[in-house]
Amino acid sequence: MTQQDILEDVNPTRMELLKLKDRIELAKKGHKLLKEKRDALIMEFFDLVKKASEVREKAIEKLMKAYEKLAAAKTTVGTTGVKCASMASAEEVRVDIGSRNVMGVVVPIIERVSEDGGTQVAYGFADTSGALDEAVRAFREALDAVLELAEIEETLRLMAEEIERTKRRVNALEHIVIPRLENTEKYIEMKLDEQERENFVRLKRVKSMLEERRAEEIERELREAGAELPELEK
Amino acid sequence: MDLLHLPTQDYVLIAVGVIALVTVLTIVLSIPITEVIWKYAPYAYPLPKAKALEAETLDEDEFEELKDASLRDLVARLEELGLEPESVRPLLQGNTEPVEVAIKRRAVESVMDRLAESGPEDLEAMVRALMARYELEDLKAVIRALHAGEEPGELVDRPVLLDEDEWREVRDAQSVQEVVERLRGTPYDRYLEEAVREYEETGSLLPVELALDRAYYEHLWELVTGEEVDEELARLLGLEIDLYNVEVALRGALLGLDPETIRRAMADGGWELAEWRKRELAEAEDPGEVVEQVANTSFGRYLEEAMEEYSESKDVEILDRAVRRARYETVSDLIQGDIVGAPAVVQAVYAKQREVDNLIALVNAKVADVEFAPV
Repeated sequence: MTQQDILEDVNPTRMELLKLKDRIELAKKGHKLLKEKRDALIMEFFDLVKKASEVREKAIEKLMKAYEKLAAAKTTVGTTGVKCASMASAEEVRVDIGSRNVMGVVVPIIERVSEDGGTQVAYGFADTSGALDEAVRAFREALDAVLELAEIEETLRLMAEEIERTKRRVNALEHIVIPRLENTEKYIEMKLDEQERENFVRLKRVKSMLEERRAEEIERELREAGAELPELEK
Repeated sequence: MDLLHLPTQDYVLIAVGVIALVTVLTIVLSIPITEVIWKYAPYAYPLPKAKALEAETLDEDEFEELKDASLRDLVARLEELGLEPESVRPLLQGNTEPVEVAIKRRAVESVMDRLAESGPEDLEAMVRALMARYELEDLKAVIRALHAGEEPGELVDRPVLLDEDEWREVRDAQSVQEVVERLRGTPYDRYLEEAVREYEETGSLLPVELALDRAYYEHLWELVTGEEVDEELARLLGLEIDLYNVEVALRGALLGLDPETIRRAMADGGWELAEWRKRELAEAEDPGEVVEQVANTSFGRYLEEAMEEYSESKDVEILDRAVRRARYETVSDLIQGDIVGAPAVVQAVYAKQREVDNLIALVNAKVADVEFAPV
């Protein structure tokens, strides 16, 4: 056990030992809880990864479909027609970002806010085409899929960060904090035992010295009283 | 006296007399003959011009050839058609906008130059009204750009129903309201006042757009219901309105629009669709219902054919193409029985518009590398 393996400035007292035992118990409990949290987060993370890959595929598919529809729209009304019709809407993509709590991680909820109250068409029919309507619809759907993907990917990023943080805490508790506390506990116990042994020896020594002194005093008193005592070898 | 032995001067005199007599007789007889021709074939004068215009227009076979051409060959062919290289060359970089506008401008110029001032008044008015399709696009481009606070981009810039001054004022307007103000007294000023009020209240451009669309088609109908209009021509333009209304019903059903909005977008008039039928069309819940309701019309078969294909692929482009095809094929059907009548002249306008549609489809299909099928 090196000096680094124990807490600094710790007094090897019984009170400290009791406090330390409480801290060890708390650290172990925390470690267990954090491990459970980490495992749950990892499980949730993998579920989300699976879902994210499905959503990503869906978004790519929808975008591809939307671009196909756009190409079709261009063949019916031309690129100028598509650009011109797009200006009729002047609709900005607005999103409402809320939040929810997933196992202690605050993740976003992204929703598209429709400014035109859900009107599906903003332009007239004479210079546009059904293919253009389809392209608009396909891009709206693709946008919703992209927003869903953004929500999941942000959730994944936040959860990955939380998992990393939790893992670091678990590792810190498992490999540094708890061993250090336990080492410190052992160190204090060792110190206390040592102190006890020292006290015992000291007491024994004092007792023998007192006994010696007492014997000498008795001997001196007897001599003074005229008793002849044999010389004891010292 | 023996005629064979007359002096040479006398022969000359007789010859001059005969020529003079023939000339006078020709002049005298030509007046009633011309009157008869004008009476029975009033479109005889613009007809050759129309046929010449039609002959210059790319036909189906030429489009089939262009379908397999490379982009570079297409550019060369478009330049051969008389389009400016600066409009056509950007195609090589994938930019179709300049060429699209140039194609439309060329169509407007060639039709207006040859047919708009060469025939009976009713024909002139019809040709103008049909070519106003591109003017309507320009008007909408200006209005939409003002609404979005952007530049309108390239315009065809060839007024048809508006005169040059009116068009310049519209183009230079600073707001949607100003455009509407400048359109007062023109054929487009039918429902604009109410539409612009609604636009100011809701901020939605749709009422203004629908007002312009309806004005365009109802102007056509007004010409049809005017005096002394060729019946076949009236039928032709009436069918144009019918097809627009059917397209509105089809798209409205696909978009799930409410019947009131669909009804508001529909134009008054038409040849084969009565008002009650239009109301029913507006209430149709799916395109199949719309096609079913127009099955007995002269254009119903085009939509029925398309519907079979649509029900398998659910590709809306099929219905778009069917409406366009019905529009162009109806003219061909009408001309069968009247090769010197107004439809024969107007066919050139439709042929030109068909060429524009097909060329725009072709250049975009080439650039996007998708299949092109001419209308």
